[in-house]
Amino acid sequence: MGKGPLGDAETARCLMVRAGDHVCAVPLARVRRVMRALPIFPLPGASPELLGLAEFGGEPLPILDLARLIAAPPGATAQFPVTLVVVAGPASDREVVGLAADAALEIAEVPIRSLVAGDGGLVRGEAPVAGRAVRLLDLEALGATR
Amino acid sequence: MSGAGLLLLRGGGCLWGVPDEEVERLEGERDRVTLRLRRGSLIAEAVLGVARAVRIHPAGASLRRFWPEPCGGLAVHDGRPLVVVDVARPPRALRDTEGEVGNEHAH
Repeated sequence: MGKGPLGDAETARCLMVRAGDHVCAVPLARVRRVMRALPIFPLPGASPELLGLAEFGGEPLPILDLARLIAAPPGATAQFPVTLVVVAGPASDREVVGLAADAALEIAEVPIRSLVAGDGGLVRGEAPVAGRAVRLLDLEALGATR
Repeated sequence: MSGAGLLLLRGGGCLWGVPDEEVERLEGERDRVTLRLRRGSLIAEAVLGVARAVRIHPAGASLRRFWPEPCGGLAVHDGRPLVVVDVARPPRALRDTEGEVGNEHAH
C-alpha cells in the first residue's frame, strides 16, 4: 500500500460513521460538513449508488449511498441518518459530494500500520478501533471509473 | 457558466432546465408537453416556469460515474436542484420517441 494522502502519519484522524452493518472511517480533512440527512431528488436511470441530487449552500450536490458504495449488508434502521459533505476525487479533479450514512458516531484515530488492505476501491483498508473493525475510506477513489 | 435562462420542466420524476434560447415553441396536450427546439423536440410532463440568471455547475466525476445520462450541467432553482439538458443529447426521460424527434445525436 502506498503512502497516499495520509502520508507517513501513524494514525489518521477520522470521523466514524455507520453505513449499513459497517463502521467507516472518513478522513477528517475530507469532511466539510455533517448534517441531518438532506432531502434528495432522485435522478431517473441512476445506479443504486447514486441516490440523487440535493441542494447544499445554494449549489447542487450529488448524494451517494455510502452503504451501497462499500457493499455493506443492511444494519439496524437508521435513527438519525446524516449527510456528510465531503471532498472527493484525486487532486487533479476534486469535487464536493454528499455521502448518505446511517449515523455519525465519533471522531477517532485510525492506526494506519494496522490497516489490512481493502478492495482497491473506496475502502482503503480495515483496522481495529476501540475493539471493532472499521473500514477506512479512500475518497480519492470515489470518482474513478470502475 | 452563469446567467443562463432556463425553461423548467418536470419529467421522469426530475426537474430539468432547457436553455430557453433553444426553445421555439410549446405544444400542450392533456398529460404532456412537447417542446419544439431548434433541433428536434423534447417531451415533458409539465412546464413549470422560467428561471433567469441561473448558475450552471459542471457535472462531476461521481455523478458521471453513477448516472450515464448526458447533461449540460447542474443548477439550483428556488432551493431545488435541477439538471440542465444538453439539447444535442437529450436524456431518455425527455426524449420524443414518436418519430419527429430531435434525437438524431443521441446514439
